Amino acid sequence: MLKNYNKRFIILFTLVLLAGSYSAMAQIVDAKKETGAAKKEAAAAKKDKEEAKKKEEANEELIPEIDPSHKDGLYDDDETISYKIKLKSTYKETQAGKLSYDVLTDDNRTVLTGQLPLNLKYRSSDNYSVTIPKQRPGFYHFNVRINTTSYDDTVKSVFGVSPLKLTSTLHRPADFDEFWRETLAELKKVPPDYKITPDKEQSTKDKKVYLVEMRSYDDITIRGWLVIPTFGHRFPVHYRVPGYGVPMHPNMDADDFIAFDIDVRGNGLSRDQIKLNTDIYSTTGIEDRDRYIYRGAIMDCIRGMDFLYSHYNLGVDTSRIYVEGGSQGGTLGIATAALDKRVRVLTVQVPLYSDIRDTYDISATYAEQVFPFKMFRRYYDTHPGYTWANFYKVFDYYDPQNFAPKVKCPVLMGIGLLDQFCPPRSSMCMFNHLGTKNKEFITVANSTHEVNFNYFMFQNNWLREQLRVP
Amino acid sequence: MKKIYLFIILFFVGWVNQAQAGWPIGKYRNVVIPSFNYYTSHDGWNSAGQKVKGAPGAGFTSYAIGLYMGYGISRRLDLVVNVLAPQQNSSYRNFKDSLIKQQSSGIGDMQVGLSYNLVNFGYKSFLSVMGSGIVPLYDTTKTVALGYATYGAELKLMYSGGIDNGFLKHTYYNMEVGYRRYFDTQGPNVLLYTASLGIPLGKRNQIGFEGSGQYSTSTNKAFNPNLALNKDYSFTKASFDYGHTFTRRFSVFVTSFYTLVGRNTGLGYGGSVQLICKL
Repeated sequence: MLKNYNKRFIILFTLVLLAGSYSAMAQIVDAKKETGAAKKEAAAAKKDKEEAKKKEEANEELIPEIDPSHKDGLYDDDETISYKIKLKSTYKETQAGKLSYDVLTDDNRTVLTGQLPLNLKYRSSDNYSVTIPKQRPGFYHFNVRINTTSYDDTVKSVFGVSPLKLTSTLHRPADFDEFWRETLAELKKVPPDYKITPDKEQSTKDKKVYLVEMRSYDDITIRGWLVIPTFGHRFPVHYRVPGYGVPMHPNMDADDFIAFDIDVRGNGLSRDQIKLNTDIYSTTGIEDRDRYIYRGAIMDCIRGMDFLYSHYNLGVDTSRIYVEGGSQGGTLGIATAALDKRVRVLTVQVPLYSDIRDTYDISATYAEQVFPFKMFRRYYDTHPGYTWANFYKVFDYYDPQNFAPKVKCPVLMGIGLLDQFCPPRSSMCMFNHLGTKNKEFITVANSTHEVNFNYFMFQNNWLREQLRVP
Repeated sequence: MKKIYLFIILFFVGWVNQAQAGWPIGKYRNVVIPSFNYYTSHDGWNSAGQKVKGAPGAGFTSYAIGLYMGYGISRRLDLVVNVLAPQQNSSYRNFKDSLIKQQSSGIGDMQVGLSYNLVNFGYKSFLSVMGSGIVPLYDTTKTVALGYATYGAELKLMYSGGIDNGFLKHTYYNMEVGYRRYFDTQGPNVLLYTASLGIPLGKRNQIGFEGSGQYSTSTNKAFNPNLALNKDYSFTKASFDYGHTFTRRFSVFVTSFYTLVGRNTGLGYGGSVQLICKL
């Protein structure tokens, strides 16, 4: 009997091996059929490569690599900071010149300067090391200028020192809480009148897509996309709030989360009554605290929470709603989590408008104005009699930093150290005011107004840890 | 030559660990994997590595229930516990050519350890180390063929990752190498190795291939008809598995294996069913 079992198993095992072999053999046969064509292709590719190499050599350049010794660009205030600089030259002519560097604060104050001679031969590379003495908590700009016989360039980097020690003053109006309580009460008076329409075109066998419509603050109609996986019964929710002027689309990424992406008023599909272009959205109603566009936009996000909470029947795990937002979405996310305790977990990337007064100060040092103060300054310049005091009088009700102490849920924040829209110092000052002890942040040293793959991988693991989902 | 073909528990101890391999379980997350394991052999390999035909009627069959539990203590550190409870049925021919049958059953060795993720290579691959202790859960003063009846320790390196380009795109791999030592004057010292490849078939199914084995050395090189007590042996086996995900928290894996080469061990085959429960 054992022999029979042995035989059967051996036959089965052999069949499995043969199946694999057959598949492999079929591939080999197919491969042979393509050999002739493949050879021609390979020859053509080789020729292209040689021509590309000739072109590269004709495009002479000097290639710099500038890396901080700490990959995340963060240091403690009791340690020195160091950068490794590697320069490679493809110039046929030897490149003689200098490498000079400055270290400046966010306020453009020079902390350190230095200079090193350069002498690079054709196809050679040299390594340099720059050590910066201990600095006080803050963010610093490390600008490297390379000037040689045929090459001139400036490479900018930013490093941070003990960012958790940064402090800022909260300019929170005395009636901040009352203002938002009244706003929430006004939202409650508006019947949501939810409409959920299946979108068969965008649905797949794995995901059902719905267009959701509802009435929000001031009786404005807003819309969003709801995506429900077909595999499973009850799901945690990934509730995404929008970036500035970014229309939302169905989020088909996750197989084990319900995704809800909302277009706040004037955004994407929510432009029935409010049609604003991105040039003027952030200054719409800016002279009146009660009419500023973000009052309604934040309430739209709260109305989105109302929608999720009232649709348990769609498989929503109402105890596991996590809110995510980037840039303006970061601001909306922080405000939502501060005002609505139903938010279980919050993740924000490059949160816009954080510590708005500090962002104003830092942006004043820029050679060229960028968003958002490009819009705010333009408004100021084109509205005689409008003062910055007027601006702050309204904006202090919307600065995410003033919402931050009311955020009690776990928070993960990601920032790019080269970000000019949301300077890291402003973001960190806001972060340090968050009311929760369960908060973490990730810096991406070489990113501007975005984060990277590693951040999103960390976020994915962090979320599952916070929500206790596999 | 009298031979008793006994189930080598160590054969299976490593298996259920492979559900996690080098990947950390994740803080606050846990996994419980009950399993049912089957092994049978009739022939074997002698101490020179030559195939030896089994005597008529002689052979060995084992059924074992296993329980693996893993808990994510931190983002990098996992606690792992693994226990097997076998029932072993063996028969051999004595010097009078009489067929002698034996059965033994009970809870075998328990392995308890900590797995630590040393390096995370940009979430594409992970290098981890696991240190564990082996504790016999049976009365070691009695002669029981459930293990070496001695404490031991194991240190293992694991490297796992996913392949994101080429024709193996979307597959995952796991490689392990370990050293186990039993605290007896005769050891043994065991070198363990595993290499496996998992291939997803759609969103809820996968197949896997694995080659693994052990190389055990001891000052005691004597051949003992009770193979479980042989301390100087080696084997390499090939496995094939299929897994299906029923829900986010529950999957089932079915595995079959066959010993390819060996020394002082059985030439057998077997399989297991594992229920992966992510609580």
